[in-house]
Amino acid sequence: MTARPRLDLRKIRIVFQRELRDQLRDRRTLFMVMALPVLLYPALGIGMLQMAVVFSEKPRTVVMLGSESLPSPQLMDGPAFATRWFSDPTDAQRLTVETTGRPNTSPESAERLSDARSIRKLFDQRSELIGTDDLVSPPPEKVQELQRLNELINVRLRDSGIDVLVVIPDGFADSLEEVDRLIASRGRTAEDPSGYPRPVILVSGDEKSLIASRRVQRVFDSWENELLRLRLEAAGLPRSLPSPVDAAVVKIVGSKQESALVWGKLYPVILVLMTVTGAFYPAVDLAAGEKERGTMETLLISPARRIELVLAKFLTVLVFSTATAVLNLVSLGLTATYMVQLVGSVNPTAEMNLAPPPTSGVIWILIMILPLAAFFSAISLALATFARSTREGQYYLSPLMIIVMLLVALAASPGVELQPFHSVLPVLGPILLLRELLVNPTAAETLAYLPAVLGASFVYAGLALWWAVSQFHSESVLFREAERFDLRLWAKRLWTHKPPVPGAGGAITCLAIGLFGQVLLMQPLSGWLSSLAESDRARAAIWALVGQQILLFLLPAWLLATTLVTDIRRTFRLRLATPGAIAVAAGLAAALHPLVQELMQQLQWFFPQGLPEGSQDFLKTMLGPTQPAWLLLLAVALTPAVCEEFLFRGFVLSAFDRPGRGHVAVVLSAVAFGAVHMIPHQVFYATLLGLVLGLLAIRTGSIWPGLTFHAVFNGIAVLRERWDIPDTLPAWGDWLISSDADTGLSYDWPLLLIAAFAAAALLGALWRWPSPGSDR
Amino acid sequence: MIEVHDLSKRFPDLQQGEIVALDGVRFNVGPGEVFGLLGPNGAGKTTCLRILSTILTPTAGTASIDGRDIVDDPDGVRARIGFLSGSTGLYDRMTARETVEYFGRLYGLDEDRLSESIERIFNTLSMNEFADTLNSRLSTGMRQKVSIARALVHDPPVLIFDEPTTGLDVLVARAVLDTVATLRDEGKCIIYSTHIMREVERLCDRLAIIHRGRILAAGSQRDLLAASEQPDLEEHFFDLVSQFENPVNHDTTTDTGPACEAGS
Repeated sequence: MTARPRLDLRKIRIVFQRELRDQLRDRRTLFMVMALPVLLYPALGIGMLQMAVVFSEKPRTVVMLGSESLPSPQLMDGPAFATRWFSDPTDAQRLTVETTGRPNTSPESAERLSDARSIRKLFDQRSELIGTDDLVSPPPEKVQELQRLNELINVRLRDSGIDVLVVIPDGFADSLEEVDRLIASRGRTAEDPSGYPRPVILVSGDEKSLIASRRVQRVFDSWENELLRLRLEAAGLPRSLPSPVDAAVVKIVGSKQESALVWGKLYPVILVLMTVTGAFYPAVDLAAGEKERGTMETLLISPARRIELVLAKFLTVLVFSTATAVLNLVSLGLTATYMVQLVGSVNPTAEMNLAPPPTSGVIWILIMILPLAAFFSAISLALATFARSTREGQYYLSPLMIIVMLLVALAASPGVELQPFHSVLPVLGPILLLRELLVNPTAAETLAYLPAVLGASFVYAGLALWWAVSQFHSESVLFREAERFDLRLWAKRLWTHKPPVPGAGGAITCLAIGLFGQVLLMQPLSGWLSSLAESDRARAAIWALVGQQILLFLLPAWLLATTLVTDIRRTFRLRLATPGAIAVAAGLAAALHPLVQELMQQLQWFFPQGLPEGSQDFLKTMLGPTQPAWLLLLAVALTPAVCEEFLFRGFVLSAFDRPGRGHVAVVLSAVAFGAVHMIPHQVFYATLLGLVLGLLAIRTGSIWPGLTFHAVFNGIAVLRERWDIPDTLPAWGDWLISSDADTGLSYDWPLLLIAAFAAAALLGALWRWPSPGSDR
Repeated sequence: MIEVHDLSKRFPDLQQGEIVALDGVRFNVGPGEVFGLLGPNGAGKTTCLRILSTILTPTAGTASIDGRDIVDDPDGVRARIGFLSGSTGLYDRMTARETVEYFGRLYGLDEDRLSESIERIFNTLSMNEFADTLNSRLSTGMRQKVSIARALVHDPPVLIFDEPTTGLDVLVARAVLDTVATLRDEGKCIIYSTHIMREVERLCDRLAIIHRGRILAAGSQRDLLAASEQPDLEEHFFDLVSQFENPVNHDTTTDTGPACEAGS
């Protein structure tokens, strides 16, 4: 093999220029990427203005029965509540109130009033039913009757067009007066004077009616306050008596900060959506389109190497992605600013002070476009290369969009904040960082995340790009023909043409069973556990753990292997290992355990709190000294070692393993192994250990060393928890291990150093392990 | 110029296991020669030519073009070949001239040499009329001319034609054949695959009959005919293919075995 030639930048430039010109000549791309954003936002803005004019809020109908029993002060003012009871006087027009005993009522209104009376009768029945009932455990027929009445009232309210029905009880004013009189005379009666019937505000579950009912409620609240104050006045007491504290919330925000909050929520979302859109369509045309039109072959035969082609195409997609995002943001910003000014000039009281983001904010937006656009460009290009046709390529957009939208939604939820762990997640990191930077562009603690966010984003983009390049090197991807898929034929072939080892599809099926099975079992399992007596729970949980491992990991892998492949021995690497390999595995586990322990302790700040307090306590009792050691070793060390090794280092590793690409299979199986551990810090260290376990399996060609490693590693963890250190720690050992009542056992640096050397030596030996004599 | 030794290619196939597309193929082609690769559809012609043009890698065997190994120096090989197939697409949103310029630049031609080369080729193929029309507006014949110009722009010593007349009408196909003949006379080393007997009879100095990834017979037309009892090449071809399919029934013997080498 001659030395790898360096990248030819000239060729990249030539291809890039052509692709760019080609895309600029494509009307569809231009429209999606350039014209749409420029037209979309102004059009949306105009549309919203028109909607606001056309669909002004209709006044809601409030029917009030017994208005003649209302005490003063005056609640009503003609056919509406008096404006003084509204904090915003214009709200008064949003409610029309129909009452009895008013002249010139329209026929509809009269009908509504009679409906209201019959509803009131139903409601009285309901009150009677509830009043006589034992509420804790009502007999079923009463419950049924109550449901029937509720349903009936609901339907009648809706049918009669009454949004809110207010029932003032007969003699309500008299009851109040009675209390007033008592207060005035400072009289004490044996019975509580407040036991009189109160007004009722009835409303159906309809959303518009609910909004109206809230308005009515607020009217009654302020009316009630006024009544109370009048009583106090009458009693010669200060009006401020009921609100001795009355703490005032004074919101002091600059208009810029307020708008920054709005922009901070809106811009990252638009940014992400538009970098995806702007990348996807050109990518599909550049990769899948090239295959479809038969120009891929020509391009591959040209002197440009594949990596140069991919880089040129990636740059083109990146340009379009970035341009789309910038155009969208500019168009959105200008439209929003203009609209805000327009609304402000029409209605000066409206508090919509949306200043455009400050210059520093704009700069940050532009900076954060780059990592996002790079990531999405690379992902889109890889997906589009995989696709056989542009049509197939476009099918991949929706899943990508859904995943991206989930991340965006996650980033928008108020609980998710910028912290070390989030900053290195794809998409999430840049969004969160940008949100913070728009609010405060120069905060030092936010800026400290910048290198991590940018670094991680570019690493992800690089990985996606590497995937795209490897797609371009894959003959099966480049030259796969659009074949028709027939489910029946495919299923038949699964039976008649069994491969010796599983394919990627089998591995993904197995992983999906394991992953979703865990989630599905969580609810019924915790339900079952909480139904048990407190003392039995820990033991039941341990057995559940054993069962779950077998059911979700071992069983699916074994069943799929026995039905889908011919060489079970090779699939699970069942060949015997040499004693040397087993010894290396056990030694490696012992050496790596303190190192991993220390690493995870050092990285604690990085990961979000994993488990809620309660489950952590439960885990402690479950793994604590109350249970026999053999049971814990069985559940936590032996069963996972067998089940997880058979699935991940057996089935999954064999499925991904291709000649000459063993390292890729190791990485993929390690990531899968990490993924089933769910909790971020466990995912991290399971992935790390997965790499070691994968290496063990690939190098020794046998599953047993990995199984040994797994069992020893987990076994040490179990024993470590149970070891009662202060008593058993011999004097010679205290420079290796120290113990503390609070933090438990911890390893000292000499031990860590020894472990590091041992681990390095053993890994080195493993790396140079003689090839196991390929089974292939 | 082209040397092919025991070239094999197996494709993993998800539905049928493994497909053997090419099985121990060997031949040589010298300069000023047109070597025909004659075989039915799916015989492995395209796979063979794609391996020679480095877009596929062989499972076993070696091949070199103009002294460059296709696996060790694919960049060197690609710089020395022109490839044209019947299914080659063109960029619709480029003009004929832009297409040829683009590939010329990728081949590293400087602007003077490029415009000189384009002028010469466009004159020879009488393409000046539509040189600045978008490819999407060209007829099939015109498009094939653009593809030929694209394959010739860097004046490669070796040319690979993979069924270049597929889908062309008689007149255009004839023009393509004339072009190939001219190129041969200019001293190019040409490999030409087809399933059409007449093209082989007209163009090829030597040929190999390929079927199911194997060369069934190879040599000059006269040698092949002499070795068989058939009156013409077409009959000989059918004879070989049916013998291969039903080995029990065959009664004639040819001295050209499956892995026959055709030395030049």
